Amino acid sequence: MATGRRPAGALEQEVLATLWAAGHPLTPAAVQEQVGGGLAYTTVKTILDRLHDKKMLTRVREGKAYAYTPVVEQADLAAEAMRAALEGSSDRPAVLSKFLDEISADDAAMIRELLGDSP
Amino acid sequence: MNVNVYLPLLAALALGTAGPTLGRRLPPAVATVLLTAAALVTALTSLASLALLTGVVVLRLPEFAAEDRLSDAVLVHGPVSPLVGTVSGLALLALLPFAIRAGIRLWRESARTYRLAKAFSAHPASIAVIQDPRAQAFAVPGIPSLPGHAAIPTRIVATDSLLRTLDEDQRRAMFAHEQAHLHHRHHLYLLLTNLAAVANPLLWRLPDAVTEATERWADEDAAAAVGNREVLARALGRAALSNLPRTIPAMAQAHVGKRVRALMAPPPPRRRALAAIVGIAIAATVWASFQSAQEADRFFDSAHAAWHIAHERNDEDTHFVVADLGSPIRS
Repeated sequence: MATGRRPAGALEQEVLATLWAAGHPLTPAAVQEQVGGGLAYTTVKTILDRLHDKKMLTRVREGKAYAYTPVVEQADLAAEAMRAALEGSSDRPAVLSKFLDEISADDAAMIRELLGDSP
Repeated sequence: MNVNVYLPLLAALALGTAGPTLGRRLPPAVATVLLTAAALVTALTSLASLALLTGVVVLRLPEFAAEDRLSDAVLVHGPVSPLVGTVSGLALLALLPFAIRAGIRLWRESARTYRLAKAFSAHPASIAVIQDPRAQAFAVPGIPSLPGHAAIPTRIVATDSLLRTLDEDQRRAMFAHEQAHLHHRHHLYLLLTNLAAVANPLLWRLPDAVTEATERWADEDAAAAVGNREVLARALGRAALSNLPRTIPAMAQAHVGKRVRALMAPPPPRRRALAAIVGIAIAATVWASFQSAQEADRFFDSAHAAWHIAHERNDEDTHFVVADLGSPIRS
């Protein structure tokens, strides 16, 4: 099974990320199609239910199924701390690993060339 | 004092200069471990060497020598010239302000990361999404449960912009990259290297070199997990380009370009011989430091013994004088 290689929490991350990327409510079937990787419908449904229980998703009825939307984090403690980390992200953080750092114009040109026109 | 005491100083200087280049030549996981170990070992042993060189000369001062019952005659022919001792002492003093500055910065950064981890520990899922126009993600390290403290779980935090910029395969690769940071506890390597740089500011370039190595390590791990090197290269490239109008260009520590290039190339060679040489150099530094400590120990032992011999003879001399004074009376 393709999902066997995913570490704990990875499915939750991918499902939530898919809903965020979509920008509009998605039904479990739509999530299943967009996440890919051969996930079973019931697996997707379970993850969506769990995220809804955690109040990270809201849902509206759409025909026979529910359509899910991610809840926007309000200005809480965590969001504030995160914003502080983002503000400071032009410095090199000491122990926090971030996905990206700044790129130079030369790097940008190199990346465009390496990855072709549509990276 | 022979060459052993100077070896750790040379090692620290060499690592501070060549560390970043060395890190790029080794496979990233090996580079992370070896650079961290080398940084810790050279930081501690070079400080020990400077302290030893200074100490041997400082103890020559009559006030200290008498206090510690060390023989002047032995100390004068000590293994360290006063000039070398003075230079070492001044070097220790000169490093101090840099160490304090780096220490304060590390404390602040660590406190900020701790606050971040704590703030997100109440978050109900392993991922938190925040709304921000910058495409960015963070691996927020967890902290195991300590007496009196509940465990703080690990979290991945991503901006909505990043999730929208990437397609589903690229998002999977990005999550695998962040998960690799958390799984291999990269924050500990970064913390230890930063501490080494605080202890010996000659190693100031090492934290950035280890940051680069951990990023490459997580990249290689993620590429293996999703079974495709190019998908992560595209994720990095697309996200970095989407941030371009907002970023300050030409940062000295920009690694994205190198990371994309490495992912578009075949997996890095193992370079076992180079790794073995670095390992041997680390072991040799420890050995040299140990030898010089033993040598200093023997020297102080002999100075101590000489002091006792000198003072016992003085006691005997006093007895002789008393006996001589007494003899005319008896005869």
